[in-house]
Formats: sequence, structure tokens, C-alpha cells
Amino acid sequence: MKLERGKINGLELTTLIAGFLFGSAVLLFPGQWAEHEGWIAILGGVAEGFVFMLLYAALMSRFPGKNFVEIAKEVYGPFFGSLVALAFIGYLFHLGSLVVTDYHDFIKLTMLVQTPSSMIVLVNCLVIIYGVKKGIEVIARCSQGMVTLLCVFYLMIFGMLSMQIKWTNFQPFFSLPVTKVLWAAHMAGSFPFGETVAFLMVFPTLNKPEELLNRSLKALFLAGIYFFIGSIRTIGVLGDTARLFLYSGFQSGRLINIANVFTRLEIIIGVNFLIMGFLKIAVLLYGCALGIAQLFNLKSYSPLVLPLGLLMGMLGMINFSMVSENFEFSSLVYPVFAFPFQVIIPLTTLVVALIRKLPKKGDDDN
Amino acid sequence: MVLAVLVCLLAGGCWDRQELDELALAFAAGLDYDMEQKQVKLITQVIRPGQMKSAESGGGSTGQGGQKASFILESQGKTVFEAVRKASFQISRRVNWTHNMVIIFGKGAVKAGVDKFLDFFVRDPEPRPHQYILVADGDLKDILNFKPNLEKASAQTINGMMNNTGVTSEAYPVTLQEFVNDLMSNTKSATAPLIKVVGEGEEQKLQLVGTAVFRKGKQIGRIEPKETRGLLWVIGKVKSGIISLPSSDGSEISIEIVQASSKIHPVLDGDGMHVHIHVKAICNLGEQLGGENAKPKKMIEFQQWAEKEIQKEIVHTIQCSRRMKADIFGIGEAFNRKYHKRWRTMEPKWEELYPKVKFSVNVKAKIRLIGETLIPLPAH
Amino acid sequence: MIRYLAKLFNALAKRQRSPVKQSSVTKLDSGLTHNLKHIMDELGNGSDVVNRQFLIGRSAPVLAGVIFIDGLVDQEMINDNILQPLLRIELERPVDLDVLEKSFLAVGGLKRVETMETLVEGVLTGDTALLIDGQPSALLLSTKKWEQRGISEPDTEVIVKGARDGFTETLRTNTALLRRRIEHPALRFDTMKIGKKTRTEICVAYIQGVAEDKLVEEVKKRLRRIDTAGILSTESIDQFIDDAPFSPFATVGYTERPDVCAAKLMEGRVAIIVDGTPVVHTVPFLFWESFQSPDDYNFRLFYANTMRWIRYLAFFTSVLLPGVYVALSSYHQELIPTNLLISMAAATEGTPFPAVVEALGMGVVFEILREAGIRLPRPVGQAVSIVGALVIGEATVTAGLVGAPVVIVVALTAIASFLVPSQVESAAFLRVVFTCLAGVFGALGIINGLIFVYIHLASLRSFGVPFLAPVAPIVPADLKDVAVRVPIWMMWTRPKSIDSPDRIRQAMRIRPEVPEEGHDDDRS
Repeated sequence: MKLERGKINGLELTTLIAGFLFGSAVLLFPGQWAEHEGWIAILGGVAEGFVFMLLYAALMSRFPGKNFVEIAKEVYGPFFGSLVALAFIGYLFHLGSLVVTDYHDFIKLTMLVQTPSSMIVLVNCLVIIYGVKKGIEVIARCSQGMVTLLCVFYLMIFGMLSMQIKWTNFQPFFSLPVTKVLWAAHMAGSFPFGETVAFLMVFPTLNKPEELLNRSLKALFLAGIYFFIGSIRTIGVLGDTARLFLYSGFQSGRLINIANVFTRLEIIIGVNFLIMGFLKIAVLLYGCALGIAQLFNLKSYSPLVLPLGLLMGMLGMINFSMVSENFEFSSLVYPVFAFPFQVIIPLTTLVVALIRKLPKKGDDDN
Repeated sequence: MVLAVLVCLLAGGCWDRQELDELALAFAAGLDYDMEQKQVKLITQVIRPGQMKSAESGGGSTGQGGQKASFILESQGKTVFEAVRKASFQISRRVNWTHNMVIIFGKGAVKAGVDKFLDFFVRDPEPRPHQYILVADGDLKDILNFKPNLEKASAQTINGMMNNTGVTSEAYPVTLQEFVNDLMSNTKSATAPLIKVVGEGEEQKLQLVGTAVFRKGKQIGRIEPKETRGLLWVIGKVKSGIISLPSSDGSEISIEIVQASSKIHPVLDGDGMHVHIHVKAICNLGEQLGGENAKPKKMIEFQQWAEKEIQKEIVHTIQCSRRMKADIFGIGEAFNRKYHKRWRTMEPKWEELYPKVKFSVNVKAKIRLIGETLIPLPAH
Repeated sequence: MIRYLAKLFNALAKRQRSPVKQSSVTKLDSGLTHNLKHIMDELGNGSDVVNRQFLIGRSAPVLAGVIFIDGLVDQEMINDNILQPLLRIELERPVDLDVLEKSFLAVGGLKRVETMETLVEGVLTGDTALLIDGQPSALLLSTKKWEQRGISEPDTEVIVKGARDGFTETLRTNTALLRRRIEHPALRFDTMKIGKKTRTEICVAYIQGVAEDKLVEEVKKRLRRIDTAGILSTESIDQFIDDAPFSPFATVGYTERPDVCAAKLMEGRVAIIVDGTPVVHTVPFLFWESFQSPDDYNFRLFYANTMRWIRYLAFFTSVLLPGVYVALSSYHQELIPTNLLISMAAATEGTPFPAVVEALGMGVVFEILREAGIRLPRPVGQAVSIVGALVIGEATVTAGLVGAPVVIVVALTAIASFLVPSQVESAAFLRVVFTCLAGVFGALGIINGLIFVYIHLASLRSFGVPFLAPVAPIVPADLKDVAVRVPIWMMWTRPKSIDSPDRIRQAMRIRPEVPEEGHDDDRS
């Protein structure tokens, strides 16, 4: 633990996790696959997320004060543990670059059409690198204010669109094939709820470890409500056209029109996304930097932040050659690809730890 | 070094920057399609912001050294996007679609099917979902070239008219969002208002002359303004309007509709398909051309006549829609919501099934207020 | 070059490592003339140093001398209370300092000194030194008096409803003003002298038991670390003890008003008073304090809160408005309602410069005008501000050099920046940064810039307290005075962030209540 001296308190953890979850899902609509039953998919995703979180909390409570890299080394032995940790860090890194890609695609489409990609990504990454260099404590502190602001904005938007929600858009109930809804639920579960696996690198900084499960579940709950409201809003307002749009959440914001004065307010959704995207990538970058520093027994993770951040940005630019690939990837490939990292690795680690009866009582970590 | 970076960034042209005086705002778009040449014809009404606020002589004629506030660009291309870019090619600035208010389809487009032409307007982030969709009854160019009296560009007039349809509720304003929603449905017939320039010379004006009815994007017919109100009664979008009735003693009265709502109840049973339509209207007594005082008994009589009149309008519209085999009310979707499983078998045959649907219309009107006078003029 | 840098570095390091040289201590001699000569040499025989020798006692006269500096002393007091009684002594035996000290000197403050350095120091601060031949010690008599500015309301911190006094340049007056407001023995003033040549007296004020001991210690520690030749104003002090010198935000607060200072002391903060300047610094300083003004507490609830919210709005306006204008008009025209857009476009038709350049340029022009306005002599000041505002603004718009919206934006920004005086420096810097960011990246630049600034603010600490507390991290107990000022009777705890040992400020339920028994309106 010599690498990370900061501490975050329970409320900060809640808002940090909540902000992380809001992340890139603000724009999109995690239940889009399920069309007008997206709200059911969201509920399913939240439930899945709860289960994941229980798993992570169990792992954390078994090894208090240690983040995943240390746990892996202990459970699997130094060699295999490093391999597993490296794979985990690789997943975090890739996930971060995916978010960068999302960020970049969105901005290029709606805001800055002709600006070269590198500039957009650079601006984004610079801020994130600065934040991570300042430490997880500062990021957690920021997340409090940001998430509060976001919730206010969100409720505002919902209020403004509430007049346009057509409740008939939700019918017919339960008309879609169950497999479709289940797959959409799993999609929502893996993106964004399952990505909380990244917090296995952050949990140890909590100043009261016994609060971990309590606070994380609160965050999940908050995010769940958020997405649920979002799905109601999107489906209600857009109706059938919800499956037409790439960024349904954003598109529903375009319809805000109060007394012809409050129009064109979809930028608020865009701003929400920018802010939450920052939180998400920051946490992921932090996890990567910390993990690599621990793997190689470095004294501090600070010098790693800049190169890792820039690399993440670059990977974000070259991830997909086109947006359709991104869309196909996130709907078909990602839920399967992420599953090992979100579930299997932590689960296996826990099981092996149970079998090997770790941590040994009286065993001191450095 | 920071200064150097800063200067580089600022001087680099800032790729996306588009100054305010470099804008050519498109306010209206007219889409037409030439079947033989397979070309999309686009007429863009562009406004010059600088001239929009200056005082102009009525009619917007070119004064000495003055400039028109709006002008049109004609272009064509194989696709809408191509035509859009060709339009920008003709002028010194790039056309900006973010404030476009109106999309009008011409005859060729509605014959070929308007749904595919809307792809550009939905896919591109610039145009926004609140644009109104209309169909031109007559020459598209005339409508876009029209110089209005109150505003500076005909797009503003059309926009205003669309916002204003509530006064008589004899036109159904459709936004891009709603239109696309309707087009995506397999059974509902999309509708869009018809607009045309009437009159000659100095007396010209724009007029909404009915509603176009589509099936799968192609126009198959039209309904008159009064019938449009019937449509609005059924879908509950009547905002206001006047029902004029002859009174039993020969005088005319005008009932002003204040609020209206409707419920559509589909029923599917062994007997076939029924639709129960319940319409509720709250009205005021607007005007009495002579006649008796407004006593409660007379009011109830007025109420009943109003109900009959509304029912007549609705039934008339239903018959029109049956004739065209066009489900403009969205009955199919209502059945879908309630009887989803059985609907799946019915859906492909909806065109034939629709005319056989039995409608029952139930209207309840209430006349609440009578204005400020108790006795109609001339008061004796 | 590298060798040069290495040498420089070594020299600095050595200097840091070596302890501060103790000044040599010279004891006073018994011989009066010798002492006097030595003292006069020390003081350079200046024309303002007065040195008077006389005889004390009739029968056994002893040679005595007084030294004081003209201009720093109360001449009347010296004549009446020191010289007169001494010259009238009619004792039989020769006097010594003890006798004088206990029986003859009609002066309140009196101190015995043994060394030359303390004596000279005392004389330089306005005391009078009394030496007697044959005694290796002297008396320092407190006779300080000098011309000073009367107590008046500070120009920069004007309030509508409240006291009108302000700190002056004299330390003693300032401490007196604080004592008048906090008439409790726990109010402590710990003094120290800083600055090798200026020997400025600095006073650390705090309320014992309310301010955390660790905090007071830290303040003193940082002040003692200042090892420089001269301190002439508090501003230098604040930069020495600042937590983050490279940040545009100050982590040390300042005020010229005693009522504000007293309030901060009551909350558990520490004040640093420096002789020679009326500006008093308070630590720790949190971001939200810049938005609090004494007016907030003197006015009623709703008005005070409205004013506070307007202040927040003004701050954000002064920082963001030019940037937002540039971003919207250059990059995101789709966000502007149509009619507004047409007006704006019509107004900027034909202007030669892009919006960024216009905004920056007009910003610079405004800063020039503002600086000029401060330094102009009174009679000319009015004319220039009129010339500046009307002529330059109007003329540039009419000539078509700059669009009217830009002038409006810059003017609004400028006026708004005056509402939050303590953040003027940071606001000015940030404004330029945001405008440039907006000019290059549009809204993306602004949002990222905001996040950047927010991270920066969240990472700042002022003497150990997070700068953005109680918003980040959220400390619910302290939120009573940030966004909304709750009624006075609800503020019953001291700020938790400052961690004062004495948390309870006032009784819990002192809200005025209607008496339970009904009023008897009908008094018979």
C-alpha cells in the first residue's frame, strides 16, 4: 500500500462509482437492443450488476486493504498472479480506450466535425492525465460535485420531456422474444454495470472498509434509477424511432421544447457525457497505472500516468476503423468478451483463495 | 513555449470554426424527385441574417442597393445529400441546416415515396427533429419563393402557420420526428398537411388546403380541411376551433372548442374487430347571431347539436379513410398494443382488414362558459 | 552552463542548510557616555535621533541620558512624564534605575534591557531609552505616537449595512479594533519580527480553544521560515506561506474590515496582522469564502441569499461568458435560438475579425481602461471612463470593427468581475484561458477546461483543509453557509472543515418563537 496513500470516504466512493457507471452510457441507451422493453433490460442489468458487486465485495473483504494486483499475486503465486494481473490491467486499458473512442466519435459527429481526431483525444487525455496525477482522492472529491450536478441536470431534462412522453410507446408489454430481452439485459449488465470490476483497484483506498458493500450498492442503486429514468424518457419520447438512432439518449434531448424558449438543450446531455466520460476514463487509467506500478514494484505510479494516458488515447483513435464496427462490437462481442474479466477472473480468484485458505492468518503483507 | 503553442493553435484555422457572418442559414427545403432522370431536386430557401432585421418595403422587393432577405437555391443530385452539397456549391458560404424549419415535398417525391428522402434529415446531426413536414399542392418553387407580408421568408410564415393550426384545428401539423415515427409503423398511414399558393399577383397568399395521406411513403390520397379535423378529433389533437350550427330559430351560433380529448378502445372478439372512439370536448358559447338567451335548457340543446356535428365530422373522416384503405388514426397500432399475439397474424393483411373494422363513435360535449354577455345582440 | 547551474544550486542549498546567524549580543556598559556614543553610532547619528543628557538628583547628581527618535514618540509624554519627574528628583542618595522604575517614572509601559540590540530595537520602534551612568542596563519607556490615517471604511470592501471602520497601518490600532469586537481573554496575539532589515512586526491572532493548536503552530512555523531582507506589505507574506504559489487561486484570504476578521477568528481561523499595512490575512481560506460578504449576514434571509446567488452567477459570468459567447457563435450555432441567432449574425455582419480575436481584444481594452481608471488623478478619471466606455465601445461598433454583441459581452463580464473582489486575479486569468480554449475547441474546450479547473481546485489545500470544502468533500454540517445562508439562529456549529476543538457556536434553539400563551389584546 505504499503506492497509494490517499483515502476516500464512503460518500465519495458512492459518487465515484455512480459517476463511473453513468460514464459513456449517458448518451446511449443500454437497453436499446430490447427496443420498447429496454426498461426491463435495464432492470435486469442492474440485478446482474448487484450480483457482480457482491462478488467483488466478497473478494475485497477476504483481502482487506489489497487491490486486485496484490490479491492475484498472493492467490496465484508471483508468476501466474502477475500474468492474471497483467490480463486484468490489459482489460482496463482496453476499456479505457473504448471509452475514449466513444467520446471521440460522439464529439466528432455532433460538435467538432472537422477537427482532427488527435486534437480531440489530446484535449480529453490531457485533462484526464492531470486528474489522475493528482490522485484518486482528488478525483473522488471531484466526483461528488460532478455527480450531484449531473443528477440535477438529468432531472431537469426528464422534467422538460415528461410532457412529451407517450405512455402508449411502452406497449405492447412483453411482446418481444425473451431471448432478445435477456441478451439486452446481459448487455446492460456488462456495460456499464459489470465494468465496476475496475474498482477492485480502487476499493482499498476506502477509509472504512466495512462500508464497502453498503456504499457500492447504493451507487449501483443510484445508477440503476438513473438508467431506468433514462430508458423511460427515451422510449416514451422517441417511441419506435428509439431503435433508429445511434445515440438515442442524445436524440431524445433534441426534442426538448418548452414554450419555444427552452429549445436546443440536448447539449446538456452532451455535457453530462463529457463529464462522466472523464470520471470513467480517469478511474480506468488510475487502475492501469497503479497496477503496472505494483507489478513492477515501482515507488510511485505517477510517472506512468502520462505515457499510459497518451497510449490509451492513441489506442482509442485506432480502435475501430468505423463506428459501425464499434456498434457491432458493443452489442455482440463485448458482452461475451468482457465476461471473463468481469466475472470469471474475480470468481476464480475467490474460489482459489477459498481452496488455498488464503489469506493465511497472521500473514503480513509488506 | 506556451505562447508558441497557443499561437499555433489559434492560427491553425481552428478547423471547425464558422463565424456568424459566414452563415447561410437554410430555413426551408423543398424536395422533389424526377422519375425519368432519377434525380433528386432540392430547392433551398436561404436567408441572409443581415437583411432579416432591416426595415424593408412590404413584399420584399429589391430596393435601390437593398437586398432580399431570402433567396432560393436550386440544385439536384442522385441523392439528397448530393443535392445539399451542390446547393452550397452555388454560393459563397456553406449552407447551415441547423435552423431549418420546414421540409416540403413536391409531387414527384410523394409519388416516388418520401421515406427514403428523409434519411439525410434524420442521419445528419445538423437538421433537427422539430422541422415540419408538408406536401406541396402545386408548384414547389412558388411556395418557396413566396414573399410574405408579415415575415421576411416564407419559411417563417409556414412555421407560424403550423404553430397556429390550433385556431381551427383543420390541419394536422407533423414534425419530422412524428412523421418518421409514423413511417416506421407497418400499418399506420402517415399524414402531412398540404400547402399551396392561392391568388394572383399582389393578392397571393399561402393556404393550407388539406392533408395528404401516405401509405409506405407514397401519397395515395388527400382529405379536406374539415375531414382533417375529424382525424384530429379521433387522435385527440384538437386544440381549438369553431363549430358553427344553425339554431332552431334560424340564427347561427358558434361554439368554440376549448379542450378536447379522445380514447380509442379496440375490441377484438368473435364478432370481428370493433373500435370504440370516445371523444370529450369542452366548449364555450362563442357567438350568437340573434336568437334566444342562453338559458340552461337552450345550452343543453346546443350541446347536443355540437355533439352531433362533431360525430358527423368524425364519421365522415372514417369513411374517407375506409375508401382510401388508409389507417390514418393508428387503429392498427392500438390493436397491436392490446392484442399483440393475434395482431401478428393480422398485420400483413391490414390493408384489407381495415375497411371492415366497425367503428362506434361516442361524443360528449360540454358547454361551460358563454363569454361576457347574457343576451345575444341585438338586445331588446 | 550546467556547471554554472550546479554551482548556483549548491550555493542555495548551503544557504538553506546553514542556520540563521544569531546576531551578536553586546551588553551595555556602565559608562553612560560610552553607551550613548555606541548607540548613536548604531543609529548612524541620524538627524531624527534625539539624545539628551541631564542630571538626576540635587545632592548626589547622577548623569542620565534619554534617547528617542523624533517623529515616533509622543514628545509631550517625554517632557511631562519622564523628564519633568526626573529633573525634579530631590533625593539624598544617588538614584539608580530600580528607584526610578518604581517611584518616579510616570510611564505605563516600562521594560528593563541589558543588551545594545534590544535597546536599539526599542528606540527604533518608538520607545525612549533611559540610561544612567554607572548602570549596565537601561530602561525602555513606551512613548509611541505617530501620525496615522484615521479609521475609515476601506475603499475596496464596502458594504451597505454595517460598521464603517477598517484596519489602519498601525499594528496596535488593528489589534485594538479586534479586541473591541472580541472582548474575551482567549483572544491571543502572538507577535514576531520578520525581515532582516525591516524588522516588521507581525502578529498572529487567534482565539485559544477555538482555533486548532496545530493550525496556529503551522502558521507560526511558516512565518518563521521566511528568511528575507525586507517585508513591506502583507502581500509578500501571503506568497511566502501560500500552499500553492503556482495556482491562480489564493489559498490565503485577506480582509481590511475588523468585523469580517473577527467573524473569521470566531470560526476558528487564524489572522495574520502585519505592521505597516491595513490588509489582514486569514487562514485557512476556502473557496466559498470569497462569495461571502458581511452584507449577507446583516440583511434578511431571502434578500441575502438572492444576493449571494447573484454573486455566484457573477463569478461564473466573469469567467465563462466571453468563452461561452465565442464557443456558441463560432462553433455551435445550433444551440442559439433562431431569432437570437439572426440578431447576432446581423450585428456581426461585415466585421473583420473572428469572434475569438474580438473577445480577447476587447478584454484587453477593458483591462487597460480599468488600470487607467485606478491610477488616474480624480479630476481626469471621470472623463476618461466616459471616453473609454462610450467612445471606444460605440465607435468600434459603429465603425464595424467589432460586433455589438462582443462589446455587450465584455462589458457584462467586466461589471460582473467586480462583484467578487477577492477572486479578481483568478477570474482574469481564467477568463483568458477559457476564451482561448473556446476559440480553439469550442464547447469541448470549455467543458474540459472546467473539469481541469475543478480538479485543480479540488486538489488544493489551504493549511491542510481541502480548498473546496464543504462541497468537495461534502461536509453536510458546513453546507449551511455555502450556497444558501441559513438563518442566523440555525448556525449553531463552527465549520467542521476547519476542525476547531470547540464546535458549538451558539445554543441550539434560539429561534425567536411566539409565546405559547395567547396574547391578551384586550387589556382591561
